[in-house]
Amino acid sequence: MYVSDAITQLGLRVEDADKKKFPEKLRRQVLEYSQVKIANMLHNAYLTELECLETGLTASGRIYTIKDLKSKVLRGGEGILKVKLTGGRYCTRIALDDLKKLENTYLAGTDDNPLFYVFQDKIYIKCTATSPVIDVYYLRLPSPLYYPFTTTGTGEETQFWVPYFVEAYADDYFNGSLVYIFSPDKSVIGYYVVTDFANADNVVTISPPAPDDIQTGHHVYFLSHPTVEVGLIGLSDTAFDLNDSLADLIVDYAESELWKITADIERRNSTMDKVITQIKALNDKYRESDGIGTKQKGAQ
Amino acid sequence: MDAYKMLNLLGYRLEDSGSNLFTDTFKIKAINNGVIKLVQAIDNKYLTELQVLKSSLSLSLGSANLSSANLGYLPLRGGQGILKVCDTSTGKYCLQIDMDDIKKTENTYLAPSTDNPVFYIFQNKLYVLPTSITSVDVYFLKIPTEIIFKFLGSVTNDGVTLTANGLYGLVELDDYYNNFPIYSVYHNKYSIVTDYVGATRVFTLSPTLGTNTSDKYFYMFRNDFDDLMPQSGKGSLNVAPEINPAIHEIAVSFAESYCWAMDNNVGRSKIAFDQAMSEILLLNSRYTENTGIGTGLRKR
Repeated sequence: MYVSDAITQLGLRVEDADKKKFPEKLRRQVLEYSQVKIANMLHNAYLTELECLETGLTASGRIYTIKDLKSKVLRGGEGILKVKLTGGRYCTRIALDDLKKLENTYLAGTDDNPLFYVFQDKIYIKCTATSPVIDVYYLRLPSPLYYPFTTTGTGEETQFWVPYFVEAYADDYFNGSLVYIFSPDKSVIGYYVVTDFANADNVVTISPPAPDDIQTGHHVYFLSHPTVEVGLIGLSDTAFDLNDSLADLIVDYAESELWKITADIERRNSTMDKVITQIKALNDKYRESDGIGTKQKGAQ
Repeated sequence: MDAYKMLNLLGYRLEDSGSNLFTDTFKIKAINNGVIKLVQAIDNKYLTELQVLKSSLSLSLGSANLSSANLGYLPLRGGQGILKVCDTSTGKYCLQIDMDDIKKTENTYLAPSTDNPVFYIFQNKLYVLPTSITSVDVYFLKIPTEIIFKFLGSVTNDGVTLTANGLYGLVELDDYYNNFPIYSVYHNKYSIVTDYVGATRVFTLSPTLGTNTSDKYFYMFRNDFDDLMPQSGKGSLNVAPEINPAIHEIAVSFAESYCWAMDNNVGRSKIAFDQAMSEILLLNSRYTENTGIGTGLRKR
């Protein structure tokens, strides 16, 4: 389901087709955090679209900072699913309570029996190597519900083209907009303000200058503007990150959020109950894999 | 969700988007209270952003106050927020004992030693036995920093420089707010902080805001997806709660409950509270125990 469809459906559900009570800007934001909240409450098995694997990361001093991962992690330390020594063994996750046990030489972490725990947004590896290279399996935070416009670079730090606009917007239309530019390698990342927009070739000029040239393949979110709803552009091409079968559940949650804004206690309660019941049902019906070995498996 | 978005959401839910019934200052206070209520109730597993490791805490005769002066931050939940204590010099983890167990340490088999140290907490003080240990590393959860969303300031130098009129909870560290977007209500413009001087609370902005003004409101904000991270070991962002974005909305529900109670609307207060608690209980129930190492009752 595209976000624009979700916004429309949501309006109908809360009897606000004419957008009098709940403007689209508010609905977009409510849908955005509803997606995050649904992901937060659902069993990991339903979140395969959010799974990420980053390989060959160096954990200097056996510590790797979670913030250095390419994407932000869902549920903090709980979103780290597995850690593996690159080309080696999987690390067994331990709790802080188990740290004391590491003083026993039979249980201490080695390259053959590597261990890890998460503390202070860092992954601590217990193994033989002092700076092990690791692979991290994790769940990322769902993307925000803005369209990630792809840029075409002009070889400058203050200018880029946005072909998506197809010269449909007048000169200066986006002037004053707050944008967020990001690149896969994080060479350019951060907030900027549009100081000029030219219709011909869809040229966007920004301030302050980016730390590096804005290149083809970088992305930009148009977040807000004092008077124009730039954040809603492109939402008819923006889909939720979660599996499409969960889109309706996201809208259900957003509906309950919007009823919270009204005095209609009954609908607020009933919609919220509906969401919680659905999540519980999904979490309960999770089918555990057969697995191997004899150890009792824990549900996640 | 940053403070600005939380404030707007709360205002909407309270049918007070114009801040006529509850002032913004009060609502921010309610949100801060909501954040505290949330972190008190939710499982530690979801609070990795609040984890702190205080290295080499000096002990005087085997004890040290659990004060912000000693730890850098106040621990959350008092003694319950202390997760682990480790002897700095030997690297041995201390076992936590209750007051009821102190008597047992008189037994020579159970008496603490540098090889098997213990700790307990009494009178907001950390006691480590044996008292010959002079320095420990303390793993703890801190109380989240209060959030801010706006401040009064003056613009000079043709809109390049913004000086906050007072502290307003702004962090007094140079460059702390670099790259943050700022919105000027008076100018109706966005700008980006390119430099920040903590001692004088002077912001350098780009693009410039234009007209010089005094005593006008400025909003600072951020988004969950951005990379505006706290500087290592230098406090934290206080433009948004220091907890995972997936649980921010629960804090708004607690704040809502608080505000409705003040408005003598018991029904809506209770519903907001119950819904926040039901989400917390659902999250706490889906917490997974780590595999851990060694044998233990939990694996039997």
